[in-house]
Amino acid sequence: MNKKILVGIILIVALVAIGPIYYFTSKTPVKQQKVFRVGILSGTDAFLTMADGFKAKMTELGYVEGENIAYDIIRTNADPAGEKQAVKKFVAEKVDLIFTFPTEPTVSAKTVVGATDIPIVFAYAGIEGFPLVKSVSQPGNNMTGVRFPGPEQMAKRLELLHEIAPLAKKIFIIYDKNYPNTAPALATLRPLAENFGLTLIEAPVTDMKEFLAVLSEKTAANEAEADATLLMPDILNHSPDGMTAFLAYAAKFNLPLGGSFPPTVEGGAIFGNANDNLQVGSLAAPLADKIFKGMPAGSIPVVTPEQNLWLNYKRAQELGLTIPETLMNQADKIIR
Amino acid sequence: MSDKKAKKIPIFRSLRVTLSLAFLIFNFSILLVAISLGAYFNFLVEKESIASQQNLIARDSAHLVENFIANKIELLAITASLNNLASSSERNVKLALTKILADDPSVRQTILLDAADNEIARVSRTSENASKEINDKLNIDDIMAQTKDLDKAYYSPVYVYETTSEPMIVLAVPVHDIFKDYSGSLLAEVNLKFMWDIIDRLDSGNGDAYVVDRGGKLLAYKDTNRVLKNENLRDVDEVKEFMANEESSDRKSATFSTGLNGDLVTATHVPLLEPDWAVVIETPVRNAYDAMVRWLSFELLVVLLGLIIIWLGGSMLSKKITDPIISLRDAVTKISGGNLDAKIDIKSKNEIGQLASAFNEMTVKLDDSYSSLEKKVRERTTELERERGGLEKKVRERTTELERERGSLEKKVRERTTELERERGSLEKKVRERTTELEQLKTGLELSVNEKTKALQQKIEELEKTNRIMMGRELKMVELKEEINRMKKNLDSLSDMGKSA
Repeated sequence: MNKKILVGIILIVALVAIGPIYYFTSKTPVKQQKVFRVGILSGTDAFLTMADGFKAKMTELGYVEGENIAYDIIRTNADPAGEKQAVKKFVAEKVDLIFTFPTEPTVSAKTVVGATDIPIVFAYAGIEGFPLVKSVSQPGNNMTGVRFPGPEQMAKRLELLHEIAPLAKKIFIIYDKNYPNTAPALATLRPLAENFGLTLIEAPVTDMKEFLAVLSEKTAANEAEADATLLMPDILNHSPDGMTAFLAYAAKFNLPLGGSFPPTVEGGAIFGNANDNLQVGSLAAPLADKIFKGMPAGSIPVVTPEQNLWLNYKRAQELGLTIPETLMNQADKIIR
Repeated sequence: MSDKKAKKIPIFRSLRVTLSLAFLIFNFSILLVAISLGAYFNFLVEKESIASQQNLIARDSAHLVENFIANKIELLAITASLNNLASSSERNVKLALTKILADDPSVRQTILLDAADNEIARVSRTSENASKEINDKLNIDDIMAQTKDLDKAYYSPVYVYETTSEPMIVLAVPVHDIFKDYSGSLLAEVNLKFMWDIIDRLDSGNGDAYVVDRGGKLLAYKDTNRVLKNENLRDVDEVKEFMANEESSDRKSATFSTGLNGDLVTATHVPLLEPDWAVVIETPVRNAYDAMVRWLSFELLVVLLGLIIIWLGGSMLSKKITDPIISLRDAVTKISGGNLDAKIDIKSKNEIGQLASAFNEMTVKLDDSYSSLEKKVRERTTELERERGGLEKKVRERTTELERERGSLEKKVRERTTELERERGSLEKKVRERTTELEQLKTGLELSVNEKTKALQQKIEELEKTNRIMMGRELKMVELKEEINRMKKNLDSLSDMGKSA
């Protein structure tokens, strides 16, 4: 056979084969799937479920662990040095995103990440009175997240305590005076207490040792010096040791305790007003999704979680208190 | 005789390539027309399909957004009617209001106003202070105008709650007493963040979905930052149409316009019954017509394949046509080069085959004619060579005679030259003698001139000396005259003095 004709036939056959292959393969373009690496920094085990909420929502959004996303979780439990070390590790590994909670680890992350281009998504970080973000709508600094609605939440807690225990006039609070959330919370609580005719008995401390010492001293003195007590939004009140000691103190003197998360309600607080950690974590996931899709983190507005209310009807009854029906209607869960 | 080679033709001017190209261009034109028509009709069908798909998505999306608001209105209306709020105690009213909050997480707070706009009860998820921020946003006159005067639901403009940067709307329904008379309004502050989630989840078919109000203000979009900036989209074509009350959801065919991000898009909008908003769906043209572009790519591939086949086929066909012509040309070239034995080997029975046979016959005849001519030429050559021998002999004799004449002339020239050289020597001698004489005369004259010059110079010096003496005398005379005059003057003055004395 003529050589040219043979080449021609081969060319035609090849082109006839390439045509349909191109047509059908171009319908389903195969893209190299990127595996996103997320460094999760949990500042306290009390909020660890936020990571679960985040991961569950990410899965819903199409990020399946082991397929197109990988998580590296570091738990530090109120250890600022450990937090910084963890963030340094994430930066060295050049993760695609750092997810931190609550406030203090986020502050550490912001400091360590600095000028790198690693975005930070925080959860439950207080932004009032602390330059974590520029504004709620334009956070900037290559970070966004779910804010801790501290000031309005503390106001609501005091209102709830006053509504359930209207006779309590002296409210005891103990707090880490250096914790970022403390100052904004006090700025809200003090005028509101005055407005209600309440007296705040404040015990500022700087560390867990001091925190436990103050409570031990009060317990040993066998004198409550207060009619009720309120849990403050800092890491000392919410660490396992601190929370146990505080609940024990309130229980010893039968003080109505205004709590925060469900464990505080289950531990003896008459109510808990905070946010569902799973929900907070899940609110952070769409933000991470937007960042992975190319939106600059600093341009994504900070999200505020919805407040939840948990009631300990049983404990309120033990203390001779009546929980108004309107609150019962609003409660997400009631312990009877 | 040597073969003359045919002049080489450039390949693109060859008959074969010309024929192939003509064949290719003709067929390519047909293919191109066919593909263009196909693409045009496909485009029309695609436009209709996109419009229909977008309308469907827009209607579904509008339905979702409408339901989101309608559910709140329904909840308020049911609470207002079933709980007989107008005559209930404050405790019962608060309970009813609390249930709204418990039923719908997007409701931030509820407020009951009486017929005179006084607040009867308020229940809020937030602290008291935070809940009171709504007071600045409430336009009681508008609420009354809608709920009292028109007995209709009220929808406030969307505003942003600064602390959380969340979009809010106030909804209100009229409250009636047992006689169905107006007795107040039931208000709910609704967090539209929950509507954002709906828009976020919308499958807008590779495009964007957003909600705008009648003034063009962006109310919901996946980039929430743009919503919080109170961005107005009055310059976006589709929003412009909504603002001008033009319906686009019944469009049969997709049109191109400028979208939310400044891209070329196909878009549609569906206005909501209540509130006065619209859901806009837009898809970038590059995404909307992706399938068509892929089809067109495939078609172009087919055209390319077709062109290759046409080129190969055309080449084969033109080869079949031009090969006999090339053979014919080669044979003619050989014949023109004198090779009359050359034969054209074409077995075809067509016109070219007949032409080849005719050429072969012509070659045979030319060969015979050429042989007879050769014989005549050989005879004439012999005769001419003989004549050339006679002529050569005559030339040699005349040459000898001419050389002899040249020798005699050369001798005469030599003798005359010798004579002339002799005359020149005698003349040169006379010139040298006369030159010597003249130089001697010149030297004598120079000596005489020098002596005369010297004598003249001496006389000039003497004259100059005499002149100087004469000049001195003249000057002395002038001085003496002046002295005499002075003395005269002195004498005159002395005599005048004597007289006066």
